Amino acid sequence: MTSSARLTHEALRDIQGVITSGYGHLPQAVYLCVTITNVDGGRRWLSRLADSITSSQRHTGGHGVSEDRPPTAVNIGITANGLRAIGLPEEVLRTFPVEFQDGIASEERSRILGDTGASAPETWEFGGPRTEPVHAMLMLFAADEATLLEMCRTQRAMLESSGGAVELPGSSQRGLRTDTFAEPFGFHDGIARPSIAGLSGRGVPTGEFILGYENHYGLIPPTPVVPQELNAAHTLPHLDSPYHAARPLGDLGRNGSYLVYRKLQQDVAGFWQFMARESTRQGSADAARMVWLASKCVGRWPSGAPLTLAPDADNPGLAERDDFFYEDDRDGLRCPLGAHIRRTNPRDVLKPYPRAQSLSMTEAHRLLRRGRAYGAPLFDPRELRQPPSADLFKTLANLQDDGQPRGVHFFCVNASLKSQFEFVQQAWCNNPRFGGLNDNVDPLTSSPRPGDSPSRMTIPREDGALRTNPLPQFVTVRAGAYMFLPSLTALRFLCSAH
Amino acid sequence: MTRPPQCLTVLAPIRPDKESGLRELLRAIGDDINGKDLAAGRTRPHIAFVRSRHIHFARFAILNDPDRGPDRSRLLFTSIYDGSLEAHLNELVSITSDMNAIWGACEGYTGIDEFRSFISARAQELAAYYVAFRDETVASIASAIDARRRAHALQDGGGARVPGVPDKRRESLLKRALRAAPIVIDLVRAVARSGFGHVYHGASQIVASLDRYPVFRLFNRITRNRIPPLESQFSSLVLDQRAPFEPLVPGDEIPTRPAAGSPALREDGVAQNQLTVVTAIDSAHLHRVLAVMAAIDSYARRLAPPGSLIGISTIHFARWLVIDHGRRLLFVSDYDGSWESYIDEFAEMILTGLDAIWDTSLGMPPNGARDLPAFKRFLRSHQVPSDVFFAAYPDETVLNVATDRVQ
Repeated sequence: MTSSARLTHEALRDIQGVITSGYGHLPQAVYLCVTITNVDGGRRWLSRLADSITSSQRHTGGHGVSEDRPPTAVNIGITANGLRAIGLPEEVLRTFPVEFQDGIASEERSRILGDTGASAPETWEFGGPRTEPVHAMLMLFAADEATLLEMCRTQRAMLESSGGAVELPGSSQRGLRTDTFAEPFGFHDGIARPSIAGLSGRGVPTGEFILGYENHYGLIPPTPVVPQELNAAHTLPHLDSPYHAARPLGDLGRNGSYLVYRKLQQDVAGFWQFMARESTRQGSADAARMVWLASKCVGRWPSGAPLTLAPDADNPGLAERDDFFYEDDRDGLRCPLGAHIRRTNPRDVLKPYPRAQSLSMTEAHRLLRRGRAYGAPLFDPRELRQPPSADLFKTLANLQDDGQPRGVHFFCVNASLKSQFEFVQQAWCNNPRFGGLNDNVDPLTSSPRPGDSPSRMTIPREDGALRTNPLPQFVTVRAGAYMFLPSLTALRFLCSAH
Repeated sequence: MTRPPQCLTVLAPIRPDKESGLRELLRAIGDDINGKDLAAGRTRPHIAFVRSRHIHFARFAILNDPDRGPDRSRLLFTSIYDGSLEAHLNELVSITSDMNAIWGACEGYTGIDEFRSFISARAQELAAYYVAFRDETVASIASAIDARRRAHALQDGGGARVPGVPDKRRESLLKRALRAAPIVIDLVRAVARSGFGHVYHGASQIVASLDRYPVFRLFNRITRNRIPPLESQFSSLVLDQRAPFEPLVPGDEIPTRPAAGSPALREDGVAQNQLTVVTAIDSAHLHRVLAVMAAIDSYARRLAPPGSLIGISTIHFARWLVIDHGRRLLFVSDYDGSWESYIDEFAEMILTGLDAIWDTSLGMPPNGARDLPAFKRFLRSHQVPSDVFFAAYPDETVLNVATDRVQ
């Protein structure tokens, strides 16, 4: 099997749809957290649910035209506690990666992710140690609100009748994909989408995102397994590993993956007030300067145009461009090294490595993002895409927090939580010395560790680097979960008695 | 040319029944370095590393000592210092409040007067040694950091801009040529000691993953040298991910009895990090290990440009020692960033180099470092946490030093 081999129809029917699609055509989403109260009821609920889970199957229309857009979608992620709650034996659970077993709210994970202070799990709305455990999360997607509410009613009725699974009170979340594609700060989000080699024939090796396939290193990623005696009905495929041939094992992971959820609340007023203060301090209190400064932090202009391609001003014509490199911008004169998009996807310049190694290390640490915004926008993001004016300066500089929460439901899919999501967060975003910087963490997602110097955005210019005043914390983590995205086969195994 | 920073590595057997007391003492010293309870530390024995002027890095760790007996252990002290060994030991004595409390727990220590000979008798020979910047001292790095901080402070207060990032200072061609010349002597010595076959095999194994350098690529093309194919696409990672680290192969003893790492030395929240790994060498392959070490040492001393060991640019200092009469390999490094990113970088830059170094050790996964999850578990299971880790410029990465020293 080579890394560019296409996924078979059987595999696509087995892989949850959220792994292979962001459902861009379904702007409405609801996330429901579920707590399982007893084993039998929990399995009953899952087995009824299993039939309605959306797979990655391509719906082939007439004339062989591929139509891969489901009209609605239902997907499910299950936490380690959730697997325990439906009676998965501890010996099987221990074959899952340790970070998944620990859960996102554990002390060690928090230290790695930088979830301290205002982002500490103790303060979370759900998923932390102070609230009822999240065992599973249902993700519902629809084209319009009426359909979505109908799907919610159906799911809630299924939960009610199961007698063993309940919705976690107050945990249901709405997610939106607006027609501006803007996240609450006002920037076009979700442009960089790695393509999966198994779907498109090129791109990132399938095994970086789906268990059971070859990854960046030419290996099939470690997978959770089930001893054969628990897999008597042969629901699960056999694991072929020669290293474990002495004991027949069922492959629980194949066609599955892992999902990270983080509810990231954004201080939109604080973000733009900082840009206003900083522009004034730098001697040019105008909208153009504010937008320039904010774009230097993001790495793209509000329209989505990358700074590397549009160094001087926004250019909506370049909005969707993701086919660029930093080769001619090694020192960050256009897109600063510390900018958000340069940390999360360093492309061909991961200092101090040569091009080939940079590309390779980037490929080994990609994520499939599946996030959506939440909360009413504090201002109309279209204003940011107009030429900067005095009115815009007034709008942005006078933004006041209205007390309404807003931000993004961050979701990402990866085959290894530790070496993909956690790695990017720890080694690239939270690292004040990323790429030879001194005191600059990711201006959007990170804040310095307790005891470290305050973070200052460092913006290289021909005549020397510009350093901002210490960056306030713009984003706070409000909830989170590490989840397993079982294949449909694995889901059927999990809800059968074993 | 100034003398590059020197390395001292000492292994001293700990007196029976003194281990737990010594560990407790070292933990307290380790905490003091991190400023956790400096005030309380004054009344206890302590080492005022912050007063030292010539120590780049220093660490204490407790290793087990299987050759002496299953319950025996030994103290590892290893340091990187500027100047002479004598001056270094004098400084060490002057900053240690109670020498007897630490060294008195070791066999053969008779007091400060005999400290030098005590250390010399237990100092271990380096098999390979890499220094990122051969011409930098603690003092020169500190003054470069200071200059940068003053420039930043001036600018943050509303003053002038920090000058742009200039090109890295390059060693003059002549200087590099002079440094590289003895490589021929190294080669002859290595072949005489380990035999041509071992030197050739070890070197070509490393070179297989260095195709990005034209000279190595040429060698690989001529000799048809390449990365060996995978034996299996599956990871040999043990399936129970919570299982305690246990010997994977007979004879592969785990170097320490399990002891939780000191909370002050957590390796995921610091700029600079410490790695100490002890593996058991397969006795049939000792000469291969020695040949590989000779190749690395020669490259590191003669050819490596400042701040980069075959492209790995997060190591400040690294050394390999073949200890216990060739039975074990000790690897000690002072590096930047998280453990995960460090090992990933190694795997990216010198994949087969990792195999060359460790596939003669017991317990290395069958597919070598290409089976990265299993290789990481192999390293983890042979890693000894330090109880004391001192870094003179703890917020400075190799890349930062490289940038600062030119401004």
